[in-house]
Amino acid sequence: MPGWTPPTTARWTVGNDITWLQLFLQDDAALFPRDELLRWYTDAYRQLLSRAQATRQWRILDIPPRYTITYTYVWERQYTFQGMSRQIGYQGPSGSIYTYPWEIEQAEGIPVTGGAAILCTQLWEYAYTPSGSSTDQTYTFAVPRSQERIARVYWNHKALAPRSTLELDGTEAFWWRESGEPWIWTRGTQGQRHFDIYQLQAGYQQGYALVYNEASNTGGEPGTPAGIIRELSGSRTYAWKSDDDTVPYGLIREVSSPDRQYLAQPTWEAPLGTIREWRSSASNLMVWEVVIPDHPLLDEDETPVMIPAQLQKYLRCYVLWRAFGRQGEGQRPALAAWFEQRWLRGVALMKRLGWVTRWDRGYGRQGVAARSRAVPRPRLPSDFPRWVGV
Amino acid sequence: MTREELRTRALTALNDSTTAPVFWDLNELNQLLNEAQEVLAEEVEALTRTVYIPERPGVMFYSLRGVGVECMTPWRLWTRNRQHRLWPISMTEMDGHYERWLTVTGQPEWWGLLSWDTIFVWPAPTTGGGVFELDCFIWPEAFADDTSEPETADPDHDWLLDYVLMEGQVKQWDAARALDIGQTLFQRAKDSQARAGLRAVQERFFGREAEGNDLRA
Repeated sequence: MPGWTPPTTARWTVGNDITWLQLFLQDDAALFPRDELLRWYTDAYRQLLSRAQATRQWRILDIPPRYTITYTYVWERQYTFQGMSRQIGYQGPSGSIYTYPWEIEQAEGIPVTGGAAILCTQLWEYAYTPSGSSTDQTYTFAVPRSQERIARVYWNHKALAPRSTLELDGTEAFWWRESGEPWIWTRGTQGQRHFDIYQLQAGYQQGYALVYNEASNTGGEPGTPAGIIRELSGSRTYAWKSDDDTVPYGLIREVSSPDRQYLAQPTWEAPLGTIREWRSSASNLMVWEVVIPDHPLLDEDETPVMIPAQLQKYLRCYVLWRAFGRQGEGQRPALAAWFEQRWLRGVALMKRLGWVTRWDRGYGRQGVAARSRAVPRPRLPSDFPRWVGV
Repeated sequence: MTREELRTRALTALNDSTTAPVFWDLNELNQLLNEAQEVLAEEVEALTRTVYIPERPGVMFYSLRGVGVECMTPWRLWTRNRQHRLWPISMTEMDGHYERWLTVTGQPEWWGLLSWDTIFVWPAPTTGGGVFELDCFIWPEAFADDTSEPETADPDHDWLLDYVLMEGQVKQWDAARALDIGQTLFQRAKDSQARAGLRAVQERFFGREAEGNDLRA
């Protein structure tokens, strides 16, 4: 635009895109405030990822399931920031939350039946329950808000079959308490961003543990692990090497082994470059998931790195579609329809990026097996006497 | 046509001065020409690059970010060591093929996508030392300077020009005129697609397979 030089970098920041949009709309935030454009831009980013389903990653979940926070009453949920949370307890008709189902029976004045003796606040406590004891709680895993959809669930590198809760209920047993090797995953009853597995592995499994450095060196009290990794230890051999064969220092740039792959999974948000956590897929749950941005609103300094840089123009098309379609001053339906079509082309393109098998295969019709000709039926004259089989 | 020629012709068609444009900034037109190249590449999927990725032992997943090309989507994977093309497969087919395919090592035979920016090969190479040839459809590089020519074939250069004209109408908020240009423009992209694809092997004879036995009694 006259008076504004577009950036020459491969990727524009969100702020660059918003500036371009304001110039295109010939508006200096009088009709379209900058934050309104930003909200539409964020909507476009989220929708593109959600509809195309082409940005996917692995997520490893330790067993038993761990939650950032558990809560008792539904109103507490708003303080979990949509994290990996779960409501515990049993809600009765009065709205009160009880620790055990038999308390509901007692509160309602009906005979009390037996029930499980354990309530876990966090399900990793499963690993420490007395032998033979049980809990009525479902073995539910929580996933973060950045997950759009689960494409596949693996346990110990074996794909679990997806089944409905209805099918599992057909066993007419407390299927969520049955221990064994997991082979099914299901949506369960805990709502969005939760899923259950059947059967369950209650043994405590954590591939890598972060240890507070000072405690390990001085023998003092453990604290919160912070900063960069100083040491890796375990039953395997971890050898450090620097790029130029001098003393290794600074950040880890690459981890390799001929026996297994250390795959770096992005967190998609700042701070970048540091390792946040280590997880192992061995004897653990691994989810292949479709992801969307974790945060509700992009910042103008950010770049939408979950999509190719070349698709940012379609995010601008979405914003223009919404801007020109908005009722009031500035509404131009014809332009809104134009940009809507451009936006939909972008969605279709992003979908194609996740479809590689269309290129390298020869698609052809299957041959049709020759059908034997049927024996023709006799055709009788219309005045032929009616024949009744005997 | 060079970038400068395209820009000059676009300004002429948009009825603006070619030496001192009023409604357009030269950088803006340059950016629009880069965008035109991108859109044409998306429609036609004809620009390709080959990038070589080292085959590492135990590594099944390879990121496409930072491979040095603007990879849109990979379409062919070839192992140089064995002179063998890997067969594309989806994760669903992998799960149907073998229960614990994630743990298998050997000589890679298949490849697929984990995400638009990550491919996997299966089995994971037991020993490294080879190189994968990965062919990708790409977005072209931006014009380096005014003497640069588009990477697309010469007959497509006026497609780029018409794209700028179309966007020029949109900038004037003339959706009807933009639609007129756009409808024919995107249909012409099929011509470019044919030029890059089927028409390149037009000399080959294509025929139906014989249906069953031709020697019918």
